[in-house]
Amino acid sequence: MTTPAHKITIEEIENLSVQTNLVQKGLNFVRNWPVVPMTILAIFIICGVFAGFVAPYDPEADQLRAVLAQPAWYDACEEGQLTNKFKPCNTNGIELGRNKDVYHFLIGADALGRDVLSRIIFGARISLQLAGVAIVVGTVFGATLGLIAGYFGGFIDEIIMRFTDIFQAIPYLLFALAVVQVLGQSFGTIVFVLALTCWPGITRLVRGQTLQVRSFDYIALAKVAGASTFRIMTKHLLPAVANTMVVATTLQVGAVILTESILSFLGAGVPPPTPSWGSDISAGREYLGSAWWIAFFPGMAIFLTVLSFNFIGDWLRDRWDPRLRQL
Amino acid sequence: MRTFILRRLIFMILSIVAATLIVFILSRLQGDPRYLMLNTGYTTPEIWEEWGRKMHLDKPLVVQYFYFMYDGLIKWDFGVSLKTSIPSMEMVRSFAPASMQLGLSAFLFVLLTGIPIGILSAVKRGSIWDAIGRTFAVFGQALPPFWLGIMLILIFSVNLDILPSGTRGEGTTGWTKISYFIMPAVTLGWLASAGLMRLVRSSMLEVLDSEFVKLARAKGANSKTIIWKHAFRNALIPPLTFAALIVAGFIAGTVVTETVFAWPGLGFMTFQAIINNDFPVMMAAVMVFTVIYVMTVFIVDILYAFIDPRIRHS
Repeated sequence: MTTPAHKITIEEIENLSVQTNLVQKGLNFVRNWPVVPMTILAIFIICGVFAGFVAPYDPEADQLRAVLAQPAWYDACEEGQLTNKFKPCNTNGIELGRNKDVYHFLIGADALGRDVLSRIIFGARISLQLAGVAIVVGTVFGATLGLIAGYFGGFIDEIIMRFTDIFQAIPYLLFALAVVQVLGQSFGTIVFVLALTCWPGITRLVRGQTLQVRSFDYIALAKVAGASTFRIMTKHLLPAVANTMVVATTLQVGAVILTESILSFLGAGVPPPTPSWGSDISAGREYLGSAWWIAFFPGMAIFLTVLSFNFIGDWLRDRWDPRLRQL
Repeated sequence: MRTFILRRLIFMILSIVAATLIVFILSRLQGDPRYLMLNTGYTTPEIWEEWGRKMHLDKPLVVQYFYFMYDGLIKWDFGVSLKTSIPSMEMVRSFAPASMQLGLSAFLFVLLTGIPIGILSAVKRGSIWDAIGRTFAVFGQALPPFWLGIMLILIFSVNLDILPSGTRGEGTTGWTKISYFIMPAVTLGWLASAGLMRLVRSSMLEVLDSEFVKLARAKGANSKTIIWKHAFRNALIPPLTFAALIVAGFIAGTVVTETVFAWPGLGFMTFQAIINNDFPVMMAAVMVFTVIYVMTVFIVDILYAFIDPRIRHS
C-alpha cells in the first residue's frame, strides 16, 4: 500500500528556494563581510565623532567624592578591596554636587573621580584623530615617493629606495621619543612622528606595483599621445596602484594606533588632562590593587580597535590584492 | 660573497651616520644646544662658555656636525646626565646588563613557544590546535604590550599573588630569582612569539606541500621522520631572518616592559630620561640602541646569505 504522493506545486518550490536563498544570503554575508569588526569600529568612530553627545559625563571634571568609585555592577567593598569608609561603595549611584545629582559610573571612576567610560569615549576621538591624520599624511608622502621611484627608475629609484632602507634600519620608537621630547607634545608633533612610521612600507609596495604597471602598453600609448609626466602619474599610474595603496594603508592603521598608545603610555603623547587611552592605562597602573577598572577598560578599547582594523585589513587584502598575502 | 658583505657593511655605516645626523638636527632645532645639554638652573657662565668651546658653536654647522660625530661615535661622549650628573655612557653601561638578561630570557620564551606552536598548528592543520595557535597569533598582534604586562600583574600578582610584580629581585636566588623574570619575559616576548609562530606555520605548510616531502611519503617514511628530518630543517630558514625583527621589537619593547615592571635596564633608563627631560641620556640611549640594532641586522643578513646562496646574487 502506498501513500499518495504529495504533489509539489511550483509555488512551494519557489518559496523553498527563496527561503534557502535568504538564509544562504545571510550566512554568506556574514562569511564574506567582516561584520563584527565593522560594527566595533563603527561604534568607536561614532563615539569619537559625537563624543560630546555620547559621553555621559565631562571626561575632565574631577569629582573628589567619587574617587575610585567602582563600576555600577561590581561591588568591591564586599570583596574587601575598598575598606576606606569615605570611598563610595554603594552601587546605586553617587550623589554629587550642590543639587545632589545622582551619578552612575557604568565602568567606574578613576583616581580623580572622573568617569572612565566618558574618558574612553573622548579618548577614542583623540586616538582615531591622531591615527587618521597620521596615516593620510604618511600614505600621501609614501605613495608619492613610491610612484616617483617606480616610474623614473635608475638613479632616482636608487636614491629613494636607499633612503627608505636606511629609515627602516634605525629603531623607530626611540627616535620618536626623542623628537617628541625636543619639539614638545603638540598634536602636530605627534602626527608627524606617527606619519614617519608608516611611509616606508607604503613606498616599497607602491614602487613595486608601479614598476610592473609602467611597462604596460597603455602607459606607452599615453606617452605617445603626448601626456605629460605629471598626467601619466596621476591619471594613469595612480588608479592602477590605488588598490595596493589602500590595502597597505589599512594594514598599517592598527600598528599606528598601537604606537600612539605606547607613546602616550610613556608620557610622550597628548599632554594631560586630555583623555587618551595610553595615558589612562599608565595612570591606572598605580591603583591595580584596588581599582583594576581604570587600567583594564582603556586597554580593552585599544585591543578591540586594533584587532578590528587588522581584520578589516586582512579582508581587504584578500579581496583586492591577494598577492600581498605572501608578505 | 665578499662584495655582498662589503655592500652590507657600507649600508650599516650609512645607517649609523644617518642616525647621528637625525640626533644632531634634533639637538640644534631649539637654537642653542646648550639649553638641552646643560642644567640651565645650576650652571655658571664659565661652564656655559666652556661648553660653547667644547661643542665648537662658533664654527659653521657642518664643522659642528663632524665634531659631534667624533664625540659620539669615536669617544662615545654624550655629556653628563642632567638628573644624576653621571656621564651618560656610564649610565648606559650600568643599566645594560639587566636589559641583556631580560632580552635573553624573552628570546628563550619566544623560541620555546613560537616554534612548537607553529609546527603543531601546521602539522595538525584545521584541528583545535591550529585554531588555538592562530588565535594566539592574531591576539598577539593586537594586544598593547604595556597593557598585557599590567594585566599579567593584575592576575598573577594582585589576584593570585604567586609572582612578584616588578624589579629584578636583587639579592634573591634560585626559583625566587626566576619568578621575577617570568612576567617581564612573557610581556616582552609575546608579540615576537606570535610573529614567529605565524612564520613557522606558513613556512612549514609550504615545505610539507613540496615534492620532496611527497616523495618521502611515497617511499613510506613514517610521519615523525618526515616532520623532523625533512620538513622542519627546511622550514626553519625563513624564520631565521625573523631573528633580526625580534631584536627590533625588543628594542621598542624594552622601554615599555621595563617601565611596567620597574626593571633596572636601558629601557627604564630611557623612560626616566624622557620624563626628566634628560637629553644627554636620551641621546646616548638612542645611539646605543641604534648601533645594537643595525649590527644585529648586519650579522643576520650575512648569516642568511651564508645559508641561502640565492640572497647573495640578488
